[in-house]
Amino acid sequence: MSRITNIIKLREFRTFIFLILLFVVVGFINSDYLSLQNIDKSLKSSLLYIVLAVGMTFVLLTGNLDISVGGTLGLSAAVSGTILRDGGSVFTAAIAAILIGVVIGLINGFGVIKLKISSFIMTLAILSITRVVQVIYTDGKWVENIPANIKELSNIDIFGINVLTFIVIVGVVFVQVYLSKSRKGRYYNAIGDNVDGAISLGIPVNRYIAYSFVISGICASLAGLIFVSQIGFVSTNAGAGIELTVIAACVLGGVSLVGGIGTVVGAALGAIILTSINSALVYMKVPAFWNDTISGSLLIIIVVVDALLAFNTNKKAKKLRLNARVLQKEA
Amino acid sequence: MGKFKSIKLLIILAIFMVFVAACSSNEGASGDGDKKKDDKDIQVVFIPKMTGNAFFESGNDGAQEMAKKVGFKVKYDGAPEGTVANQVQIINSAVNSGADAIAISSVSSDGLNQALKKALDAGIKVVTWDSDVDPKFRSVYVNQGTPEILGEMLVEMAAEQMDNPDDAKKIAWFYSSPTVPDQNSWVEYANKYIKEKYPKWEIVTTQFGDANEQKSLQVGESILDSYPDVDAIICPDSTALPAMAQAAENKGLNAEDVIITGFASPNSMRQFIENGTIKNHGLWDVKDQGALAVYTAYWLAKGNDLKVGDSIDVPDMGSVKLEANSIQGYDYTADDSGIMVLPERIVFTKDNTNDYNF
Repeated sequence: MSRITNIIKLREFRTFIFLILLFVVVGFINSDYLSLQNIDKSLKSSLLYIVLAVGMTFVLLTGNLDISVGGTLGLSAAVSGTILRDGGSVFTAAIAAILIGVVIGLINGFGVIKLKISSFIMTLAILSITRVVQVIYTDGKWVENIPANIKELSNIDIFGINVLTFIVIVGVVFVQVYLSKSRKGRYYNAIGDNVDGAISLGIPVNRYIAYSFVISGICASLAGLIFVSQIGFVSTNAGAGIELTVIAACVLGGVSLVGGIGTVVGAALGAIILTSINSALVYMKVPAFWNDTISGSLLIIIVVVDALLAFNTNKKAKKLRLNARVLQKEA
Repeated sequence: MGKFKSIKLLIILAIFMVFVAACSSNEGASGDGDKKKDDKDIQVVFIPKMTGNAFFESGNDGAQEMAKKVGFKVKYDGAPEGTVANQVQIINSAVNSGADAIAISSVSSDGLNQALKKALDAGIKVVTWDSDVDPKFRSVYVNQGTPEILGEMLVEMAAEQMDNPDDAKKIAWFYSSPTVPDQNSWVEYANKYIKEKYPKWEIVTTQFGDANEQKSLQVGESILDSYPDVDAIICPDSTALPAMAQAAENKGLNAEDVIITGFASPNSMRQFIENGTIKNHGLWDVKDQGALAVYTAYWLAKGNDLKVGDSIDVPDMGSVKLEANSIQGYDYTADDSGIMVLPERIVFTKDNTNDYNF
């Protein structure tokens, strides 16, 4: 029984409830929205954001930010896209993309740790640089005519479930288990929660911050691969502005902007909510003129309601703790 | 003590700013001072909505070729992201560097007004192409087609694929955003045209993809799911159209199931035409448009007068006439402000798509 109440208290659980609510409310207006097919499709559209949000969570947990994800996504999508277009194998394209992610992650990590540049500035600069590198690499052209069999890769279904979706969900669960159950996985939270504490505990703080940027880079380049296979063309500003959506998704899923708190499951749920709002608005058949206003307002409502709920549970928890202390003294 | 320090800093900063501002305005004046340049030294700054898009790159190709042929300078200047802030910055730097004319495809119908006014005040000729600004702030708009021409073209590209276009049909619009001036004006006229010519058609929805690939694909899929009985989806936007076609392909639909058409470059749509997802789509020859835009800008910068009703001879294109602003539905009717309509537009099908590369 206590296990169930624990789950209900979880931040991620509330995000999940919001997601369900979104589907149910929209489903009332247009029953097609509740179809399995649409849920599958919504998940598919948010894969890109989920993968990015997982990487971002690592960085956010350590108390840093990674603004460069959109640039990494664009560059690795452009490079792997050209490789695929020119007849290269999926394997080569994937290796190239991941290498790009690793290199950009290492550069970010180097700047933040060795040069002591704030992660916001460092990754912002890298974002601009990667954008220009992409323009130079593609000669300022869109990458088009990506072979049809690559585009089919993102559409393989087994038992009605998209294979790519399945892989990503399993990946998220694995990462979550690593972060919360393994000793080293918990280092990330510890660093963001209290750096000095982490140092005195003997955690190699710098190394783990560097890891977080590399992980974020790899996630962004994987998102680039998903971008290529799902969308089939790469413009020179592919992924522009995506970093804000991803950070918003993380916050929506309960990842703290100052570090130490949050889970990848929450971030992934946040990503699904953010992307689902786009299609929800089409299903609700509201005039599209209002879309941005509505999705912005929904965001605020969700975050505020959640903060209120959290406030209440915290107050209750505090009361419980205080009572417990009093009892201890008496005993 | 700390307070004093910060005040001092502020004062130094203020002096510095004034100094910089004075410098830059001096520079502008000196650029103006030595008038009567050689025709060869005339510099036109050619500004796209965004760089990197095949459409605008191709417009630049045409602009550069024209500059080479006639003998003047064209500087291509843009940012990968098409925002008002970026374009304002580019216009300002054109003013400061002493350019003679600018030819711009605007991302906003009134966001650039202040910057353009500054340019005009500095004696710079302003021509717009592809997407217009408020006609008070430019001399000539090199138009790919009036809303009448393009709106009708969009509707007819869809209608010609229907067995009985006079029957009741369900139509959806899908383009970039409700604020983009050109696309909006085409759709507005197209809706009027539909009411007159195909009164039984119903517009079931109008959606926007923000020129964002991922969102466009998602919205495209959602349109197909929320309006399963839609007959035609018309996408006059270079990101929305390929994304919409991809969405249809993902659902295993082809041109027999749902008509998808609109405006995009042939390179981005060739695959979908070849595999039968779509039958046709249209565009104008953007190389011609870029060429005409910079030539007009150059011609004005030489000090020529151009009045509504006049024609100019454009190399390889023949005589092009300056029409009144009213053909685009504007109220502004100064006689030195008008519109040049590009002589022709193209409908791409399986038969001709391989003849073009942009």
